[in-house]
Amino acid sequence: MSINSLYFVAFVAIVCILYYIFPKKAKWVVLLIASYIYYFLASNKLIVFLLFTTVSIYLTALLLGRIDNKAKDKCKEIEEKELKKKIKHRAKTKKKWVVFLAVLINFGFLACLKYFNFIAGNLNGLFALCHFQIEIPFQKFILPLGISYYTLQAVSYVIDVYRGKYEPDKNIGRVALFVSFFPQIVEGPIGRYEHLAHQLYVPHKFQYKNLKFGIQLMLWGYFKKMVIADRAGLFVNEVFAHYANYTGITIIFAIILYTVQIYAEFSGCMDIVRGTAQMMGIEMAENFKRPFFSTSVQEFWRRWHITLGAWLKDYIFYPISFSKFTMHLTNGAKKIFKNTYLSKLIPAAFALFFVWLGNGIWHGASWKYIFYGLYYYIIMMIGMLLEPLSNKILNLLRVNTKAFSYRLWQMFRTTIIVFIGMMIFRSHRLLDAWKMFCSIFTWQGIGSLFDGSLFNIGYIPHDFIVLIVGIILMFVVGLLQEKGYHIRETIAKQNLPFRWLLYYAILFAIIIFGVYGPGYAASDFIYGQF
Amino acid sequence: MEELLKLLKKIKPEVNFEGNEHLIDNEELDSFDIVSIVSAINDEFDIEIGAGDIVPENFNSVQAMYELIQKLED
Amino acid sequence: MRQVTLFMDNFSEKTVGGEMKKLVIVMRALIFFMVGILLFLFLSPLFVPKTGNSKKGFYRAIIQGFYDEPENSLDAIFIGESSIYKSISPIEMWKEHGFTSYDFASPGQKIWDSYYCMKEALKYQKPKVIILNADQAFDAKPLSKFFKSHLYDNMPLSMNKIEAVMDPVQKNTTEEIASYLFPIFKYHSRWSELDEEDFKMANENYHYAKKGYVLIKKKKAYKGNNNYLQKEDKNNKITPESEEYLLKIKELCQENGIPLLLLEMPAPKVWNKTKQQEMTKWAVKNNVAFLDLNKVVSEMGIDWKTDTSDKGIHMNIYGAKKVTKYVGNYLKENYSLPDHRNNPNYQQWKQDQEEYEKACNI
Repeated sequence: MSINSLYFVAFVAIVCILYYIFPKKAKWVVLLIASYIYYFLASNKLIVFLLFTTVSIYLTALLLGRIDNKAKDKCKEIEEKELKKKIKHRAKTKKKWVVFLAVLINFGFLACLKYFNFIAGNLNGLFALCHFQIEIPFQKFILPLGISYYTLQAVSYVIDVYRGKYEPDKNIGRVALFVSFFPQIVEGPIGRYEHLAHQLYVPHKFQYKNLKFGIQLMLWGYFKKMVIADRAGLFVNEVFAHYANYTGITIIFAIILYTVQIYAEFSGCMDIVRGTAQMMGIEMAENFKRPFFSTSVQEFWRRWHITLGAWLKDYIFYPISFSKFTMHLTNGAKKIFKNTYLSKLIPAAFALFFVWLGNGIWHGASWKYIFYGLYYYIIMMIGMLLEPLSNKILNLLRVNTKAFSYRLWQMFRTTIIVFIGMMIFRSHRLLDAWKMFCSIFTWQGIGSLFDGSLFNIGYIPHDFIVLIVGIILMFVVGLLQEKGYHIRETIAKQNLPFRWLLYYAILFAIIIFGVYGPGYAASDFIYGQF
Repeated sequence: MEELLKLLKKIKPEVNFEGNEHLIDNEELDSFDIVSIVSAINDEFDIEIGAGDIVPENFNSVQAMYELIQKLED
Repeated sequence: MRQVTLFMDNFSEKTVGGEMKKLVIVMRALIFFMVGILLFLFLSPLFVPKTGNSKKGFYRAIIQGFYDEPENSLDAIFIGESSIYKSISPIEMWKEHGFTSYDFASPGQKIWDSYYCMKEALKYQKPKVIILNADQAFDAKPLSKFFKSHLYDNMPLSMNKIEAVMDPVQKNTTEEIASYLFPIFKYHSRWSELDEEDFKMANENYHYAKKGYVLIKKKKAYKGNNNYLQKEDKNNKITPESEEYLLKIKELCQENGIPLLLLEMPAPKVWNKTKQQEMTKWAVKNNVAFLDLNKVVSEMGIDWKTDTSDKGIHMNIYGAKKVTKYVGNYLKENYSLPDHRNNPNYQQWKQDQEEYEKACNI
């Protein structure tokens, strides 16, 4: 049941009706059953992985809670301070092992299913290099739907319980729903227990505004996905598949359009997901905040796939930053570089390396993705290293960094960096990305821009017009939001004829200009495979 | 409290800390600043702020950070 | 005040009570939904390919032409697949006997499609006889998507059509069903090639002067002999699925008090002894008239060298004239069909006759 199929729309409609029909206490059960039906329809037997993860984190959290309580009870009986500390310490060590094991098992599944062949392939290469007579056979694993997403969610729950951020949940149904909630399971957003679980569990009264805004958000998402992303995909697929046939301007165009495609697709999917949830009064985390208005790569990643970045920050960056090893590193750096900029940079650089490595690996089992992550790492490191220097130069030249034109330049610079990242992301292998990058600088074929042949790749020319109009529309909406307009609230204030015209226009734009059906093969959501 | 404010100003002189209650929400402090601040506080007050304590609510204002320190000093 | 609230989203609690507010919202949602459906129905035909007058695209014209005939103006209706619309020329019978008829047929049509076509036809017409192509009873597989499109894309939305495309025997997926009910889903990507004809003919029916008949002049001789009626093929059986719909068709005709005639066209490549026996057995058992033209090939004067367009599967215009003549006489004799030739209400048929004759002579 792909998210842009009529089945999904029908499924959502039925779930929504049932949700509001059922009595208050059963509402969350409707969501849970719907989520499991959805998952079962998509993954069949593989649902056992989801079940295992759910049960394992539920039990782990309970165990963590029990260890804590036992330690507390013991402390009450004892007066001695030293002994108290000892008990607390012992409990903490125990908890550490429990949570470590749970995280290891859950990530173990993910690693086994997703990365086995990648690791095996690299090991085989290594063995061959060392003339060992060992070869690990490749396995054919089918990935359970959304495992990369729900595993992160599940792990965040046990770690938070371990950290004492909240009490373990005694209701396994609520934990199960938090992990499996059907709109989010395919592509996120990666939700947090403290924000999501309660919302899913408490009954939401029917509110016309929620229904309306939810449907509007879904429509906009479908527009972005079906009209813009899938249409851009026609061009992108052709050029990336046969990049050797194209040069210069065509390659640049393909890279730009791929960036448009992946943004429209991923953020469109998020709008559909969030719209679906909103119809039932549930507010999900935002995953995109108009990332192309970012003035730096750091900012870009705070506004692009936000929930992934936040997860990596909370569960990789901070723990590594505050680990004993990093503390030693910091102290060592302070001794060598004194209290300079560099001494601050070194621990950050150390922790960030793992964040970006994690980011790359999470996206897929291939060197390409690892390089993709490290590409951003290197860019950021260079930026941070040069910051004092560039600040000095800017001061010297008396550049007004607050000026709009300077911000525009920063946005431009960031966008170029993102384009190159996307090229790595989309190409089949690293080598292809490199070749494509080089062929940008062969300026042949610039004529294709003027004689119109550029617009015929994988298209009819009319498609280009629709694509450009769609992109402009997306840009204008983004700009308005950036300026602080609430689009849906603003629309709600308009008169009925205008509103209806707008709704029908977008609905029929999707139906007529959407890329779907026998005419085109609708591309799957790019982010669904991770 | 005074001590803390001084420390913060040393780390991030361009940020106006007094009366500011949205340091994280308004992205005035990023994750690198948090790391610097936390390690400085840990050194200065001899406590151990862990990864689990790093939530926006604990760092949105000087008052919140102060309360966190007091909680951990117990 | 109420009028204003209809146009405003932010209701003021003072002016409208809670119940009232709910009612307005529900009403508005309903109206929005209905207007949307209407827009859908209005826009859908715009995107269906208008192949009404091109050489290959007679399918749309056959179906739509039927709806263009005045209500209760047809004396006989032929239902079935290509062998019907290539063998029976209603205008020839009109010239000879003065009764009116139409080939409400589509390519490859299966017996269940015929059943729904018949139901649909009886909504608009009260014929004195219904003629059904017999060979369709020997098939169990649903129609290919391509052929289904030729029939259902061109049929206006109705309860019959909904029933037809949702019938499990069709093995349609939900998405296919949606595409037949709202062809815009299938043809939306034609938006860039819409032309004047698409807009003109979007919500207007074609008039089909040849009354469903498809004129073919090509000759490709059947080189086999005439003893195909001795051939047996044990695989040919009236399948259970087909029989179910045959019985439904029979019942439908009985309910409407209209006699049913099963008709098999001369087709040496298709017909054989087994089929003939099976069909005859069924017709006798169920008391339905069955006319097998393969028995009277020489009586009709069919010359296999000149009268078939594809080596013995379909008739061309020369064969069709002979077949039609025989069938016309048979219907006139057995079903006492009226003669409208001097009725001023049937002026259109005279015009159509002229157009038809012009087409025959080119």
